[in-house]
Amino acid sequence: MQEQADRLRSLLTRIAGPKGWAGIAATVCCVLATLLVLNTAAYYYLQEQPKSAHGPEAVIGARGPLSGWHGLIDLKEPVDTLILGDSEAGVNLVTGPIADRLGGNIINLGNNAYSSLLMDAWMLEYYVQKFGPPRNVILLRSCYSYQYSRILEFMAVVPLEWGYWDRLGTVPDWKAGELQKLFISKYAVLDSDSDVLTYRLMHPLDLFAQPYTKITPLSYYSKGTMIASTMKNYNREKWPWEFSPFRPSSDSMNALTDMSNLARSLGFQFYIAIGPEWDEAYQDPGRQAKVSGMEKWLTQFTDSQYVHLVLTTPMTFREDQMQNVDHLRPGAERQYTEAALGEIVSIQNIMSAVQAKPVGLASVVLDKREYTIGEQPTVTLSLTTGTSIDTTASVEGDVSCLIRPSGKSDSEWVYRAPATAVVAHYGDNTEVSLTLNVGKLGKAGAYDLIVFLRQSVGRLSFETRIERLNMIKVK
Amino acid sequence: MVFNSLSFLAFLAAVLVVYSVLGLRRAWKWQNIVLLIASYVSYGFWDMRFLALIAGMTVVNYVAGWAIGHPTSKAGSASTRKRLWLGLVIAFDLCVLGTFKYFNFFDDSLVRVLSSFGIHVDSVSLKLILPIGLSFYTFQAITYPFDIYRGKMAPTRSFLDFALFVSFFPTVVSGPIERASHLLPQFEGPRDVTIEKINEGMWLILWGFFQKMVIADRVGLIVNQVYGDQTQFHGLDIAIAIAAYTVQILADFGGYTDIARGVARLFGFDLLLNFNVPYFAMNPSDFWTRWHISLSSWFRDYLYVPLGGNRKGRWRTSLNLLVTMVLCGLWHGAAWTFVVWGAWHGFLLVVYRFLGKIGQSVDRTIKNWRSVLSIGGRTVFMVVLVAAGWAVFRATSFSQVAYLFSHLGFSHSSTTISWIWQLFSFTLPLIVVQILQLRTGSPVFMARLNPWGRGVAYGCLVAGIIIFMPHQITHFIYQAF
Repeated sequence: MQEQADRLRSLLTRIAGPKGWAGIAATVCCVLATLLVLNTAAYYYLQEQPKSAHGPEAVIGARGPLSGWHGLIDLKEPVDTLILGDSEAGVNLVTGPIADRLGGNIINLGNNAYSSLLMDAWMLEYYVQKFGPPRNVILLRSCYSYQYSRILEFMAVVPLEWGYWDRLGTVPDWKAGELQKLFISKYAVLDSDSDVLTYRLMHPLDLFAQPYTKITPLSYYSKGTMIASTMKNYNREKWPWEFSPFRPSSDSMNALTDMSNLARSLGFQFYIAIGPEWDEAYQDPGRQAKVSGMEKWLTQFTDSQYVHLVLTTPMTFREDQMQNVDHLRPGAERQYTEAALGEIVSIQNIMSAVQAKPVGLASVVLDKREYTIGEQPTVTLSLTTGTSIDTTASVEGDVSCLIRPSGKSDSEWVYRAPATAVVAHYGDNTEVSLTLNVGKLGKAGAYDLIVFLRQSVGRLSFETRIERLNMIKVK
Repeated sequence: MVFNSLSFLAFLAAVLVVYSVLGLRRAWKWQNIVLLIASYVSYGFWDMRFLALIAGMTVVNYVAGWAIGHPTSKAGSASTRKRLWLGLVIAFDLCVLGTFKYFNFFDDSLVRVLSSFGIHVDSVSLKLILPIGLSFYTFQAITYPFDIYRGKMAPTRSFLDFALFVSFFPTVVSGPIERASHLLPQFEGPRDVTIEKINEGMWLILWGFFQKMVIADRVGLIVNQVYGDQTQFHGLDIAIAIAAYTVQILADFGGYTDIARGVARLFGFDLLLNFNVPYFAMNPSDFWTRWHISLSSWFRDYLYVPLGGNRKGRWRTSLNLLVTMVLCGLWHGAAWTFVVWGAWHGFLLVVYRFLGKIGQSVDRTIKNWRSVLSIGGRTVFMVVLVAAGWAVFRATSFSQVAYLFSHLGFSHSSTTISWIWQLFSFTLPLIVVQILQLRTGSPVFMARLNPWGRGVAYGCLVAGIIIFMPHQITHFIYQAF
């Protein structure tokens, strides 16, 4: 036993190494080198594996902005509409109808409220530098998020090289020591991302199993997620900041100034939407004053051509329509989207009316007289364009349509046909067949057919809306 | 100042710098003064009000030690005077300890007992805060007059050196409980801060922090969940929590001791080994030569032996063991659960004694597979017995103890597998290091490794601490005692 102990002890000391103070110095250097290696490995690991579907980092949200950034960095082709903002944008704005009626592709980068508007500005600036300006940008944020200043932990996880704020354009007004803290937060990941690393190390089977869920361009028409309602906790005592006076942060000021100026200089449309309100809370004068204060402050950025405020009369919803005070439930988010979209389309129509070509429908033919529950109707539209005066008119755009129960609003649609690109020339009755395959025809009755003819007018859209009431019969 | 805080690290660095500069000039007396000031500053950080208490206890014990060591009368009555002085100083020390720590406990218990007999008496409770480290430095101070009385050492001429012995900042809060005959002579002369000691100190401090901030604090999360509301748990979850506490208390207290010993090494001092791979013990006697050695040896030398030890027959020995362990349990805190824990260990010691040589054997020689099974089996069984005691030790009430033991089983929940994995993950480094300590026969084996290998190992430990350490400072378990 003693011999074994002696042998083991001598084995440990047999390898040559510096002695004395040199040995201690060597040890310390080796410690630092090991930390550097481990930190570097962790840094690159986290760059590639930033977010998993589960785990504490998803709850804490420290890596929250990353999903949007990775979606943006990996974007191969430009999109026509960018949605920016916090989770209100992510949850309350449904991209499918927006893409159908504004045209082209869309990406919803709605993210984390704590990331501040600086993140929205940087994402927009990054996109513009990569692809040039989009046609439309829609910004939706909760009222209190305009009051947030930058959080260095979020800035640190943006997967761009150090100094990206200078290269992108919107530079924070740095306070003393912030850059140093940001450097540590960004690069000393053993400490700054210890929660994420702890989680990953405690779940080794998931170390490389879960790809990061980056946001990708996608058109979707309804949300599936439902979470338990937290509405009962929402009151003045528990959430005082929701009822206190509106005080925007300097970061929000800088960000919106830069974004507005960018819209004006590059000629894209920038819509700032006012979020939905819980009807009971909105009865509180404090809440009304806060929202009104926010609108008044936002107005300073608007103009008649490029920057617009949308839904200035806030839409209110019942408690059962809301997951929490910022997020709408499925069904309600459709209403909100359609309302915001309606205003955006109106604004664009006003601005493009002069240059828009006349376009209409020569005929609308259904493939059946009557449908049974579950069937997908196909609509063939014959488009006309131009007038006897303007015979060279040709219209480029999209056609889409929806079916809604007779007499109801668009937000209660049951079936949709996503937009199909079309070019119509004068004199030619351009035919387009649309199959309504998004949604479900679940009830018997009469349905209205709503057709949206969108024509591109420069960087704007002009929409011609055609309604055929009670056209679809379902038995 | 808690060890695991930035303020302590900054404080330590500052003291080391001044101490080292004085060391270059071989000014060991000034070094002692610096350490004494640092110790009082450090203790004052906890609570300024108790500086007077530790100072007072220092004076009383110093004077008593002087009186015992320098009897002024003739031989016959000198012995009586020495005994008298010893008795007085021990009574004083234990009175102070008893007043602050046990008065309210015994008062409440007495009221309850009388009440059960229908006698209603008003409770007289003192609104006293337990001074931090009182249990430790009181016992440490007692060793001085006792060792002088036994002739193991002469009274020290320097009151400052003695004051430093009582208040030495690495040990004052949670030990190890030093012996005057071991530590005081180290203060009374120049000390060599050798490269070897620095290496050992670095290893002990780093490993101590890893044990506390990674192992203890992480497995402690499981323990806190179950002990926080035991009715939510059953079956294997309870077993895991008990196992987790078994790990936590070793890593927490062992970590503290290692940090204390490491810090002392940096100043050139050697503190008593407090833990010697305790969960590799094969019987209760063996366990108590490995667990909290400074306390168990204190009770052996200053209570068990004076009671008669094992010199007065089997039954008296058993009684002495039980009394010693009950008081050892009581030392940990003013609660009956601690008393029961102590009694449990006393019971184990007695039972194993009655088993004779089989019960007392610590032979680990591996001759064949039977010996492997025997050694392994006895070791594992000992761990189970010790863990059962920890379950009581950690509990806040007997109803909690009853619930935990009555709901042990094999049923599992959604957290069972992840808890097993967590417990395994965080215990593994502790097991590996303890096996290496056992095999090399040295708790500081890592300090003897090649500097490059050491650096990589230390770097991994530091990375582990950074990643896994809790966001808030957690206190050491034994600080509460």
